[in-house]
Amino acid sequence: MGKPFKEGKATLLLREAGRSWQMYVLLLPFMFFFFLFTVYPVVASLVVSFTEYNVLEAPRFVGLANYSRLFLEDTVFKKALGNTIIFAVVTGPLGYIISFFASWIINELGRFTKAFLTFIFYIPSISGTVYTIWGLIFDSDIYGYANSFLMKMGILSDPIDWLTNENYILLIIIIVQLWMSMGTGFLAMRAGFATTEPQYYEAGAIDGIRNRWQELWYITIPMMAPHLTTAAVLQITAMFSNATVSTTLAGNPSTNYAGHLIMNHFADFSTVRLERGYASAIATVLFVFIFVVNRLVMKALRKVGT
Amino acid sequence: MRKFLCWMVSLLLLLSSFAGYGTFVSAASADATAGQAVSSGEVPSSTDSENISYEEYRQMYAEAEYPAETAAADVKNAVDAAGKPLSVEKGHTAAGEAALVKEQTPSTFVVSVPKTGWYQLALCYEVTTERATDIQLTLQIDGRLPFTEAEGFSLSQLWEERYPEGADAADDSIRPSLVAVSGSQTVMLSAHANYSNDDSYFYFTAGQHTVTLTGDRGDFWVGSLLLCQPQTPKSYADYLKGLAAKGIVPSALDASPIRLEGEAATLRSQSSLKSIADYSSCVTSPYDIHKDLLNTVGGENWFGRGQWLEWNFTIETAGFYRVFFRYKQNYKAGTYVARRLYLDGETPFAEASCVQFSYNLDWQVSSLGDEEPMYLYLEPGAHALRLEVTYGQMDTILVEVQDCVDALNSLYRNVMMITGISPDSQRDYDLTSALPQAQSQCAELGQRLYAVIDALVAQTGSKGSETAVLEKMALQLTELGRDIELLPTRLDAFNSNISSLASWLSTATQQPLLLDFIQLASMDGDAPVANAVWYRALWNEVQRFFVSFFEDYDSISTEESSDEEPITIWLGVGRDQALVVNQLIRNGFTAETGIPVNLRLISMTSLMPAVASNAGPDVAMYQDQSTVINYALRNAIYDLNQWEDIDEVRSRFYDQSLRCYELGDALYGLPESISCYVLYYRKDILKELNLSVPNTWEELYQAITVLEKNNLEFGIPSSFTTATTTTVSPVFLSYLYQKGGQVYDSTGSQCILNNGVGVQAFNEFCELYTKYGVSLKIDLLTRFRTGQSPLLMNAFSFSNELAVSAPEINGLWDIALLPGTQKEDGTLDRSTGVTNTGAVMFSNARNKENAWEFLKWWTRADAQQSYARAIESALGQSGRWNSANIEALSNSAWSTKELSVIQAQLAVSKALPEVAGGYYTGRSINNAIRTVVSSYEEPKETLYEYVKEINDELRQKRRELGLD
Repeated sequence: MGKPFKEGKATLLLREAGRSWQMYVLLLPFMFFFFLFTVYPVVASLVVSFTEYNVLEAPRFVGLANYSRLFLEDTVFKKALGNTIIFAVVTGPLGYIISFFASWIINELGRFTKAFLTFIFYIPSISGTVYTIWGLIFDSDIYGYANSFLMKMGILSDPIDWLTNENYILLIIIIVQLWMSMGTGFLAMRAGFATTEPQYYEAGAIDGIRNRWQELWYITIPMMAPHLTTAAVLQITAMFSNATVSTTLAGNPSTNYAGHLIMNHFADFSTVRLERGYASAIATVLFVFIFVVNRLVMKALRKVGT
Repeated sequence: MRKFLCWMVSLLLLLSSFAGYGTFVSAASADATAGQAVSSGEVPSSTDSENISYEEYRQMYAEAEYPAETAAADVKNAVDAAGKPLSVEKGHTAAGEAALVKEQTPSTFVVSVPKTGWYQLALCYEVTTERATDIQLTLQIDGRLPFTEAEGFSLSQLWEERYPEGADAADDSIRPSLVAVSGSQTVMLSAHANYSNDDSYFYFTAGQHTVTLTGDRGDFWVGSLLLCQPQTPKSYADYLKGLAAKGIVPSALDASPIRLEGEAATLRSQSSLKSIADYSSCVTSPYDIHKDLLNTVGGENWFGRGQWLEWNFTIETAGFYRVFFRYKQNYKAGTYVARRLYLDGETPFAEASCVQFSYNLDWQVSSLGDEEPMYLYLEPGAHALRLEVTYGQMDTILVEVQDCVDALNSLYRNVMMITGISPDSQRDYDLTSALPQAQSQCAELGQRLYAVIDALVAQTGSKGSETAVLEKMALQLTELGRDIELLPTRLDAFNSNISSLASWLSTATQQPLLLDFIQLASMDGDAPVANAVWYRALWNEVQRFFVSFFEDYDSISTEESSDEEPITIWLGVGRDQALVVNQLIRNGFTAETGIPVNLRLISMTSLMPAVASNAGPDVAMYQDQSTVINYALRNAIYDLNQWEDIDEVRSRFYDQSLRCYELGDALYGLPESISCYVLYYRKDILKELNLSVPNTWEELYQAITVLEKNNLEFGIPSSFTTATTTTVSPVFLSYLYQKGGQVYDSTGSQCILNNGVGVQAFNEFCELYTKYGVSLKIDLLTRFRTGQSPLLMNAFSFSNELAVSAPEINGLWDIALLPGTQKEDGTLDRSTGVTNTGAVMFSNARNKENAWEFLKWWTRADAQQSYARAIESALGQSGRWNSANIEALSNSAWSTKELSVIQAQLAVSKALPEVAGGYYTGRSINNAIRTVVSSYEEPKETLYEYVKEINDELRQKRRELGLD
């Protein structure tokens, strides 16, 4: 019984496709490049992760050796995983919440101030590498801003090598990342607030909403669900696959891998150690990881406002 | 906080034991004066003439007169240091018979002076050997240096731009090269660090004296050496009167304008004064939308006092000519740059000794005299017009500011020796009694700076960014002049103000100017056009935009003319370097061998994929050693030991620099440039502290203790910057090698730092930080300039940085060999690590013979020398090339003294061999040091742990690469 039914579905699909073939033709250019530059590399990296590959010589198939080394032998990976989780758990939700409240507060302001503040908050993420200023603040020299200030206050007597001392690296990276967290997610939320229509609040007020918190929880957030989801996906992916702040401020690798994130580990293996097969294995694991976390967060978000 | 508590406790103790507050104060001030005594104990006495500055020298005989008499030195009977007469020949200079002064040979001339007083020295000379930089001349009078700056007179050569055979200016693919031409010139000797327009004066008493000249490199003929007074040109009014007396009065001419194209300058004083292709305006002549024609001259390279360009031309109609300049001066906002004009070797009238070129973002046209034009009278026949950089009316200002900077620097050091670099704001340092002069000195310096500002405003007519730096310093000084006790709390700002004042000074001395042409025209002639009308300019931009689609900017040169397949070479350096390399290849390699070369400027990140996909180059240059070995381990690089004539090529380099490219029996690259650490010291400060240059580590530790007592510090490039994670600190390598240690065993499969020697070296290196308080990270350039770190170790290229960015301390510092360890036989082992960049050939190179020919040519001494010369003239001293070729290095632009240190240090330096997985060593050693210093771990245990990690990685890499 099953088989003819399946065939029927396939024929149905084909007929459907035949009817709207123009759409597929229009999709073609995009799909071509999408497959070439996105799908193909992902698949290729999955394949490469089962080999030993140093770019200059042909890859050699090694089965699951890369994965077993990654999970069983590589202590640095464990450290990087731990760091990434701490990093992502702190900067992810915190950055998300900060973005949310910032956009909520900004939304209450006048038109000009709104635009101006949005611009100000968004600046750190569009101005590229402006966070290198933090390298100056946390310079190990006694003339570094943080050292010089703390020494002047009499709190320190000797300078601290902030960015090379393993006790401080992760903390500083997290601080800088939070400072930069007003990214595209923030813009999505700003859009969400901006598009929530006032008549819903009016209706809510009639239905018995008593304060701004209730308004936020029962009206604004459910209205903003798509924006929130987008922002969350962007935030999670960004936090787990982040390495630039760590690399720029603490170097790659940082002292005793104190600020080592999974992406740092990946970069270390692919560019310094030239083990692309192993690096692909890291990338694959990270991909799965992000995917799972995303699913979990989606599930949690669906409960919001209910 | 702790400091403060300490003070409170000691205060209480003192109060209880002496039972009197007054006693405490006097004790504290006695302490402070004791510190002061150390600092001022060894100030050079002014009678020691070898150590006085030019200013002091001038002060010593300020009353002396300026006799009008002249006296010529006896050139024919000059002798060298051994008393042997110099060889004398005719026909070398304009002055008839000339004596040959050989390089590094003190040559003595006798002169009998008719009258006591100040004289200037006019030297007529001709340089015999071509070299990139000027000859540095040392002058002694009666066997003694009259003043310190007398070590640095520069004698330039005459340079000419010459095209290779069969090429000319119409072809933009071939650039001319500057070649030295023989010819004599007469200069007034003028010391380097002199910020005045005046040439140097020398004091002679009446009677017989000897003048000794020593050139550092290159021989030159001396035609005459004359004691005389400078000639002051007459004013323009007198110039006209003088001509009117002969019946010549200004009138319009019937002659077409004569245009002297800037790029066609006949002679140039420096090899850096190249012609430039400038495309900012389509009016610039010549101009072609499709080509990169050379159309201007000067620019940023034409900035230093005494640099000149000369144009030869012929006049047919005698008469008065108006002189127009088309130029661009967008370098010095708010002020002008100045040039002195010479016609046939003389400044025609006083006004021409300071021709001003004002600031504008656009091209400008000005004429001599501007609103009230001044005309040059030219007879028919050949003439030479020269423009020379001068300070113009800025010179008094520059001298004054230089004086202030010197005074401020020494004041800062004196204060810092009492208070330390970060003074405690709670403490009363009682500077008034420690440095009684300081307060009045501050007030006086403040007033002087305000006077300078007024003078500047009077000259430039505006008060802007140019004066802001001066004003800030003057304001602070005025405040300190009221209360010097404020200084400890403001020491940081005080220091940074001095630094900005010093850098203001060094930029103010620079007078860059981009010149398109000089036009000589009849007095009623129209001025040339300065800028295109807007629609023409717009149309030009549009055209250029579209032309840009058809130009290949990556490819520096492609040759299609030859049948042979060209060798492809990739470079990952700046465009300047690439252009120089290209020119050398065309004029040298290709001309010699007939092998065409395709040179491409490409980001080195694309090298690996290109090599992997067989689309890479045959040869790559400027590769660092770890990259080379990384490729070699994966069989991407051709083993050069396979060539038969490799032994001859190997003999060009230090053995150790080849070690960096060796794996087993194979050699994977040829070194191009080389670097190692040397010791830098401030002569003036060490002398003040009565310290000598440390020869051993023990002496260094003692020196560090003395420095710390005076709140100064010793500096090394940091292991605490994030950028150095992959390199092993050369200071650590010094400790290790001097103890006879090695990083790896002989097979390169194991790190052996965990043996006794390694642990000891590591321990001592850590102690530099933990015991001797070396800063985790310091800005060496700034601290060396201010004198806060008067002793430091750094790569010898740091000298170039110093020469360029800290010109105010030129002559106050020197380099020396690194401290060493006493060997059993009594000799000192001063070895350290050496690093290279190199050129490699890939194993999939299409024509290996040709590529090998290229590598051989490129590392040859003459090619390396020409490259060094060309790159230094293109980029200045900051671009100095330190060739790994021993012969080329010995002929480089370093002064003899510096070179001997560098060569001696290189000769005893050892390479850190590159091994499979070697990147892990630097990383782990740095981690180990940081762990010890920041977490106070035990060095030995820490090192063991990290060496184990290194060995794990080496094993893993060797397994992966199948080396075991």
